Amino acid sequence: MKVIPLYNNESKLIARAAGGKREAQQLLYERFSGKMLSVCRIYVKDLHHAEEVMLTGFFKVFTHLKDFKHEGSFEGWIRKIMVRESISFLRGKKELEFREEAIEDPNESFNSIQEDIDAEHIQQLIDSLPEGYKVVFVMYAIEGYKHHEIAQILKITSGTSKSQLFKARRMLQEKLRMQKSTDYGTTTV
Amino acid sequence: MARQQFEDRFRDSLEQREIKPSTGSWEQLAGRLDASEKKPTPIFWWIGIAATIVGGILIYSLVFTFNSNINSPGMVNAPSEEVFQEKGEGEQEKIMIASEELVEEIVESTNKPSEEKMVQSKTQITKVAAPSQSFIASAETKEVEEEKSLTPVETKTPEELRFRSKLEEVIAEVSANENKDATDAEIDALLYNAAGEISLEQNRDYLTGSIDAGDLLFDVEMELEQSFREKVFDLLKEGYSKARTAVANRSY
Repeated sequence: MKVIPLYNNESKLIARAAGGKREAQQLLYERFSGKMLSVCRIYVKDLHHAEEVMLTGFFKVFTHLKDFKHEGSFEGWIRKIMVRESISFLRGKKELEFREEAIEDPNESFNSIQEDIDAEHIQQLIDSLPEGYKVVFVMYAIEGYKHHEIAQILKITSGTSKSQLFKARRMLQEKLRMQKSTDYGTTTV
Repeated sequence: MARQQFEDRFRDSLEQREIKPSTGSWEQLAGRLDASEKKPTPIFWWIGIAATIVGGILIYSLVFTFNSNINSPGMVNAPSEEVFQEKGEGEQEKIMIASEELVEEIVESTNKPSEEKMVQSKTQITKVAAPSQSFIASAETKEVEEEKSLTPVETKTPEELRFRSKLEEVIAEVSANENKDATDAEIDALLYNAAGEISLEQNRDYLTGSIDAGDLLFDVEMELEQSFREKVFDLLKEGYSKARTAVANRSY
């Protein structure tokens, strides 16, 4: 039986992983792979493809671990890499399309959605969005990117990012309303 | 655009979620990491070693070939012509005319058709670099002159005809001068003139496009061979320096 020493100090663990120690890398992988696969799954519908994206992301994490400056959290650094890999995957499949659309009311509120909703349900709603709406919504609402950051990463304008977000919110609201009326056994006309 | 409240709930729910990867995913990742770590080192070293060996072989071949070209006497200025003519009756003529700086040899063999035998008699007109050292075998030139009246049956190229005609002229002039006790200097002058005329005719043929394609190809191949060697040598030198720089700059 192989005894793997536990490193409570994450910095030491990261340093050993950066030096190429497989045991340290495996520990980091086991510590963060569950969350990172969840992140990739938000962007990529198919779980198998999402896992491939996650593995590619971790490959880049361990081959560029020396570039981590310890300026923010290690998890946040890995998460950024996973988001970039997910977007690259979608670009590779040529599923990302962004249309310039005018926003009718940019300050429209969508806070009519009150009920609690579980993660799987949320994932289903996100999966139902068009890819362009979904990516912008997830980056803004879930990951916390600003519009100018989203525009830079996706190579679109800030205006396009805002319009995509607006459309995504409206669509989600509409789907939740339809679902709510269905759950009550009636359908609205 | 401010964040909506429902988005906060979405975020909180999704951040707490974890999806367990499939079994064997770590082994798959470890395999990729092992493969990426093995790649860089051998390739750079092998490229450097291969470039060094190939460069050394090329340098050696270039130097060796250059030295051998210097020592070769026959290809310095003017092309040397070797004409071999074989006739139906067995008569053979071998005429070699080189440039003025080279040894000039005209060997001629004749056959008496009445006897139907191959009788070879040689007429040698040899001239070296110093004009004072020319000599002609005179006794046999008369016999050659008589046989010279035979027209060539199977001349291969116009140049063979030209050399043959020049030879006839020189021999005729020599024979005529022999009756008048011609001096060596006069004979040398005749030979010089004949060689000069032949060279002029070759240049004219070159300009008018009537020169032999095979000769041209040979000249071009010699030039190409030199420039190709130089190009290959330059390319290898460039590749070797690039490989050396890459080895020095690799960061892993």
